Amino acid sequence: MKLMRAFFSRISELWKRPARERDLSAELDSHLQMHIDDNLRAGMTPQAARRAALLKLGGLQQVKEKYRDQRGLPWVETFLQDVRFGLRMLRKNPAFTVIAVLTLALGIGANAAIFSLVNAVLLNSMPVASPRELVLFSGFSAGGSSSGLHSGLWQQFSSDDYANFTDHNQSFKELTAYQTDRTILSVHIGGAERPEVARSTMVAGNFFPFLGLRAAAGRLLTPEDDRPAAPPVVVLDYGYWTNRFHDDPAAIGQTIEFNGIPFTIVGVAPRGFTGINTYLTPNLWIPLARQTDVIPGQNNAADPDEYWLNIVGRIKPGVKLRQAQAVVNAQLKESLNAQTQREGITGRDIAESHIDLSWGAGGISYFRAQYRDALEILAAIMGIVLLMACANVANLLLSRSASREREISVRLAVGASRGRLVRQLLTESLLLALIGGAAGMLAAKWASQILAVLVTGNTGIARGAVDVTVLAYSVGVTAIAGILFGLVPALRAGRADLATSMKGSLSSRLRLGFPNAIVVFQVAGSIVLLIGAGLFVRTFQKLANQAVGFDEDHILLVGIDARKAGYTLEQTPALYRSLLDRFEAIPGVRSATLENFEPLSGDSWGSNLSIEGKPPISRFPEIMVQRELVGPRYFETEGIPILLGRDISPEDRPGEPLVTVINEAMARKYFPGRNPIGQRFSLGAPFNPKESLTIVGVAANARYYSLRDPVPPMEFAAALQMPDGASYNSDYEKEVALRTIGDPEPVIAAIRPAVKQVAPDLPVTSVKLAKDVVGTALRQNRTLAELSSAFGVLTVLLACIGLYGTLAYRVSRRTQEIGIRMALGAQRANLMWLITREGLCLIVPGIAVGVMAALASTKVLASQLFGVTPDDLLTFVATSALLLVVALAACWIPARRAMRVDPMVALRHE
Amino acid sequence: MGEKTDVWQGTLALMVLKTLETIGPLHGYGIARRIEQTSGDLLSVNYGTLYPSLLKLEQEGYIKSEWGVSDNNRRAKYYKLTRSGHKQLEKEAREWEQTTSIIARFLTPSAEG
Repeated sequence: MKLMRAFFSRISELWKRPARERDLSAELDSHLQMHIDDNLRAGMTPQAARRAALLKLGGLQQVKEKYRDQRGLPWVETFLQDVRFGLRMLRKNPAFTVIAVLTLALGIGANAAIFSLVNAVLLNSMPVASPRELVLFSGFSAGGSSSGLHSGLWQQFSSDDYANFTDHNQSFKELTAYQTDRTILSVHIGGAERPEVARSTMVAGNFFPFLGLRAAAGRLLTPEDDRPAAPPVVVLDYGYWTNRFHDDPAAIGQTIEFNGIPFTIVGVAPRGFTGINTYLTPNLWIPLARQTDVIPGQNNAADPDEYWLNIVGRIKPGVKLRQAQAVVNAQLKESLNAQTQREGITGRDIAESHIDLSWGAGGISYFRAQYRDALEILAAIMGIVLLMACANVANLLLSRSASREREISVRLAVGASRGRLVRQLLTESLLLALIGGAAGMLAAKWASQILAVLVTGNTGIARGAVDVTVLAYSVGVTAIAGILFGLVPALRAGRADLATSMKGSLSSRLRLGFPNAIVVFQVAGSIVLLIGAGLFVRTFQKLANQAVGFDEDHILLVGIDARKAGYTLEQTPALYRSLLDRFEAIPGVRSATLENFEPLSGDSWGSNLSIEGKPPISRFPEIMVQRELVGPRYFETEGIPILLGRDISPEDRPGEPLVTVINEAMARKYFPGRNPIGQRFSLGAPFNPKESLTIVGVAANARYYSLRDPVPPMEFAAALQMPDGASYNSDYEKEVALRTIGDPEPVIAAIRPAVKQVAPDLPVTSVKLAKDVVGTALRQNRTLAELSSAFGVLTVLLACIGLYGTLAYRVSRRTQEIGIRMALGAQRANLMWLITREGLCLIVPGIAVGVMAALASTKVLASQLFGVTPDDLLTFVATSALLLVVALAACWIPARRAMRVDPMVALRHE
Repeated sequence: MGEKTDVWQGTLALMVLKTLETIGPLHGYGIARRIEQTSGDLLSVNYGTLYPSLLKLEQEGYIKSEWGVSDNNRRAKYYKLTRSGHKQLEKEAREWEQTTSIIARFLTPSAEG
């Protein structure tokens, strides 16, 4: 009890201090007076009386000190005192303070920004209940691959498969399913006239309860909504609700209408939920049962070959993943065996069919798979930048504390304890770290918004908010670094030999090895980053300059599937012709054509071929060509120049000799030096004149498969000439490519109505912009290039600051020496060289170390590069030269200052 | 160094309390003088050490302080025992007596011999 009282009384003293001080002084005063009075009465002289009284009291200051220790919370008070003093010191050296704070802010801010992105993409779990139970029915891949019988690995499933797994479920608590792709819809919100574009994903009724999510507003979908007879409802994505509806609660209950059906908005998904396919966040969540409304003309539930769902399960406790996988695979094979009447299933297909189960806590992230390397590289860069920043601050602190040696020595001499001194210096460092950290936090918030958009292209992924743990970590690290580096000078100071430091030093040797090492390290780090940046920039340029070859800005891709509407192969040419005519009638469309595969999708048909007149090559892969089936005026529509001969024309009809246009790569490879026009070849071996294709044109190369790999030989046969699907595989899924005159986006709304006019039952499976497709492929490289350049520049900046600081400090320390040299006849130029030489002694080893480090580590980058090798000479030389120049510039100011020293002043300088 | 001061502080506190009980309200100087006297001038107290002790006792609630006027018409700060101070004094005095009697038994030769 008394302890509590004592403690509280101490706390209250914190603000009663001045009054207490006065009180004590008065009390001691009166004490002395009384004692003196007594002494006087005892017969002492006034001086003796006073002296005796004072002696008996003990040292006045000591008494006050002890009193103070008892009175308040001494350590809190000294801390506050240190803080005040620290702030004063920081104010007195504004240049130092500003530089240090900026450095820290840059280091922490940039670091936190990218760390939070890495965190969100690579490390974070989805914000769902018990994410560790989640199991994906797919191997871990960057989505979008075809699935099913012919590829062995099953990642997507039909409605039947889903029902099957659910019915025979043994290893899972529950299963749910969701549509793999998004569907682009043209919607009318709230009865508005003007259509808008929205993306939707269909999910099973139990999807949201399965994930344990709670609505941000309204309610989420339930199994009740997933019945065919249920009223049509949708749930909004949180980001969509914010952007389109401005967080308006009145959005709930509004109607959103598409394909003629009005859906009611019943709620909003929780913030931060991006779906399990974390890169395909939709605007709308729709129940599976409404599929025929979302994609009219197609009934996926009734089609056993429509693999449109991904499946996720919650594993039962105690069941191992392997066990579950074995069970699931057995079920798959069993169900395949039972479907023997299905077309095209061979025993081998069944044997190879398998499902890889994988843990799904992070969701299927496109970024995780694609960007893992890039992000890891960026994270490493961030680590280096942070280290640089800390090193800089350390250097600054060292320089400054070394210049405060005199002050410290005096303090020690007057009686301060070393402990107290160290505490005070540390408090200053801490202050610096906190201020820098606060500035960094602000910078980070702003920077991470930009970063999220840069890397992911949409703000769905990294929510833009800075992760608090990441920030705390960064600040913590910097604080520790700041303290450590504040500790070194404090400890050094404590050990200082008072006498020597008081006299000042004439030594010109680099007494403090530590700051040197730091600067060299900074220069090295800068080189490493600059080289990396240089490589990425060149990679990006080369990639971007790889013209895709077609007019990406004006092309719209519309996916259709005639089989769903019940067309036979024979009927398709007529269907396509009418479609193309109808599309070309849409205002804003310049021309329309057909193709089989979406560009840059990685999908392709390859085949060997036999050229007429040439001996057949025995080895299968020797003559290979990639094949495309295209509609009339294909090259004109895509904007690909025809180099020789002609385009596929509407006059090429079935029954006439099959024609084809080949690309440049094929012409060069198989018809070098000859005119290929008129030549014939057939697919497969040997040459079959009846099914041969005649070359009627040569087109420029364009990119279909990847931006990096060289364009393969390709042949483009006329789709409308192909009645016979057997030789050319499924002729059903096609993309219609529309080239628009202006911006392609406004045309989107006209597409489905146009299709409906021509073929009411024909489903439009997708609508995409070509430039989105290309942009996605390029984005990673662009971002890498931009970011690494930015950080490279940042590090150079930091290194220069460090260099400047060190040299400036040196010059100021050697002012006396410089004065003497000048007095002895040294020319100003000599002095400039003196200082510059010191600078070079730091820069050159730094560059050397950096180059070696870069050589050692850039192998890591190889996967990200294109068109340059990791040891590209040009990049190395250019960056070294650049750094040398910049660093020398940083030396210039101190050197000039040395030059301008007035010998008279210098000699007197202490 | 630490231990001796603590013990010293403890006994000093006891002496202060006792003095205040016996004499009544008194200022710091007076208490110091009185302690010296009571100890038969065997204790040479550095008067300064008294003040932190007085503060401590005040923080713990055993004494109260108030500015007043001394005999010589000087302003002085007077200390007075509080009720809990009384109780504490009794308690500590009892403890001391207990301690000394136990020690005494050890030090004097036992009657059983």
